[in-house]
Amino acid sequence: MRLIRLVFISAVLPFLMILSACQDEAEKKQSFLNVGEFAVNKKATYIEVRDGAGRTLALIPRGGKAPEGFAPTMVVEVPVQRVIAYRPFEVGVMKALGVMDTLVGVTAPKDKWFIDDIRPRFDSGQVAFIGDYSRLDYERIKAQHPDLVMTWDPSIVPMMDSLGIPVVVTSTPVASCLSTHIRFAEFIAPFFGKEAEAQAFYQRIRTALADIRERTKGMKAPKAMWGDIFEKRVLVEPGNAWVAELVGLAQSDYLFDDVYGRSCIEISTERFLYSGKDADIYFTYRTPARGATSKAALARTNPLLARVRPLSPEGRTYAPLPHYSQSSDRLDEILTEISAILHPQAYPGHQLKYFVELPDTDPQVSKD
Amino acid sequence: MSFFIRVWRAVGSIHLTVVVCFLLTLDLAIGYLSLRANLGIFVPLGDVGLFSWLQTYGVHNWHATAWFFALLVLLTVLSLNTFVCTTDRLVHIVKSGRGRAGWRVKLAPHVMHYAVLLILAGYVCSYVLSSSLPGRALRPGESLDLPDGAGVVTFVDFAPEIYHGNRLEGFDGYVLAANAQLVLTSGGVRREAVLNFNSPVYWGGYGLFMNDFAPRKGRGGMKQTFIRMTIRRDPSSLVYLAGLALFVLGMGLYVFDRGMKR
Repeated sequence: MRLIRLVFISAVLPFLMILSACQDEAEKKQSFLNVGEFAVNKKATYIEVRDGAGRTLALIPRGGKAPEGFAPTMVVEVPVQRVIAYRPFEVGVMKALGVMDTLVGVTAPKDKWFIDDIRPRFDSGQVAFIGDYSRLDYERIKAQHPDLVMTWDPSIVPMMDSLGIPVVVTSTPVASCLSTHIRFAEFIAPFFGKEAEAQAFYQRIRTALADIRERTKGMKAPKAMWGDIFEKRVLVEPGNAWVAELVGLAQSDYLFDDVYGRSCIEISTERFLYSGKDADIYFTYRTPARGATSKAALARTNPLLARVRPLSPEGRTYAPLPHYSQSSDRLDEILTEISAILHPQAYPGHQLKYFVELPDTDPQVSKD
Repeated sequence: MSFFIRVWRAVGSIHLTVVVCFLLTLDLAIGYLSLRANLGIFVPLGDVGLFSWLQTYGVHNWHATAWFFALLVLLTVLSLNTFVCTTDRLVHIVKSGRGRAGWRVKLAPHVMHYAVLLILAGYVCSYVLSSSLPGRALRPGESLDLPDGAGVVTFVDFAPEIYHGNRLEGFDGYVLAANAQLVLTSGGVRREAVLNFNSPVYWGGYGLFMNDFAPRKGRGGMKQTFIRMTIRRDPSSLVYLAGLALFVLGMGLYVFDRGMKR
């Protein structure tokens, strides 16, 4: 009995003390938000954000006083008015937040954009192509006078520091999980002062996820894989990536669940083919414009691919359409579509909008 | 029996050790699963400090971090238990063994117990006292000032070691070791150093840890040339190192004891 009392005193009381100390910080808790490794911490006079590279930036009201301890390029005046975005994903999230008018630069030329709102902005000169990520045009970036550059590539930080342009790194060393992916808007919302819009966006996606869970409950689990064999490398989505979690949530088996790391992670050809022999459904990275027009066309790009079961007549293979990666403002629809691909019987009459199912062979084109 | 003695005996009880070890095993099993599913919550723990992390990430993600709060408490109890138990035993050995030949070697397990406590204390101090500046990137020729005027770090260039061979075909031409050449200056003192993953550089009381570099390929690749570092000040590393030294001493005594028995 004495021992039980002792354990209680020595273990439970300190535990409660920590809790009560944390209760004193209740206000802080309310003002703190973390989205995976990203974090937003509202302080008295500014907002502290932690980006994907672990850098801490201070967001201050426009014209406000910068807090101490932050280099000039680590201070961002918000709401930002001129933004360069590297990834189509961020552009889509900006669209969801209703701040497309702040976009002034992207890393894909006009003819690579397939969503509304972008091409007219190229034509009007509001949005500029700042160069491919491997060949950036720094003169052009400077000429666009951005308040902020959102990038997945931390290697540009020193150069942007020398140009006096704040950078926020929007990717993390490992792939984003489903929760981080769907809540990313909440991380970038404070840069635009659009927290309420981000909440509404998140709630829409949560509703879609709840619907997916409900519709697929108790269904037989198909086996899915997501990746590709390229000329020299085999790249897949790891088990910690959002697509893998979504496949699991939709009552399906993801065959690279044991692979951990960054998005598009390299694995051995043997590992890819080993999983491929059991797979029912295969998602390729390639769009039809990059050769994914049919199973036979995919097999021609690399004969080894023909060994995976989904490329045989009894399997199913899907390719993303060009606007898929640019439609993150429709993330709820994309998640639902992936679920519909995994369980077509749960979504009768569903028309694919973001993916295309590949036929066995390319349609014969008449010479007439 | 005074209250203090009763508490002392209860805290040093072997029954308490068993209960706490069982609870620790259970807690760490939960922690293993939680870490796998929520790694992103725990990554900032290395940068922001223990208390700050507990008040933000810890409290905010209660469902995923409760095991960590419990771990802190259980480790505290286990440390107290180990300290009391070891001290009791030590006093007994010193009292009963002094004067006999080789009595000092019997201290070996207890020295190792104290060493583990010191190492644990070092870890706690590290989480509490250390400061960290993550995500500091430099291009060749650029410099950065360490906090509090502790010195200047200049990244000169890479002298990379590159893999050549066909055993790992996909990695032919990739960098094995970046060998970032640094020049460190402080108050007229200059030193050259080489920074790599798992090979940090210490200067002016700060540790420089490599997080990332580019290009990863010998012939350039597609990224800019840069290194990204975390700059960390950790005064408690001395405590941790002292714990390791004490542990080695304990091991030495233990080996000596075995030798004598043979």
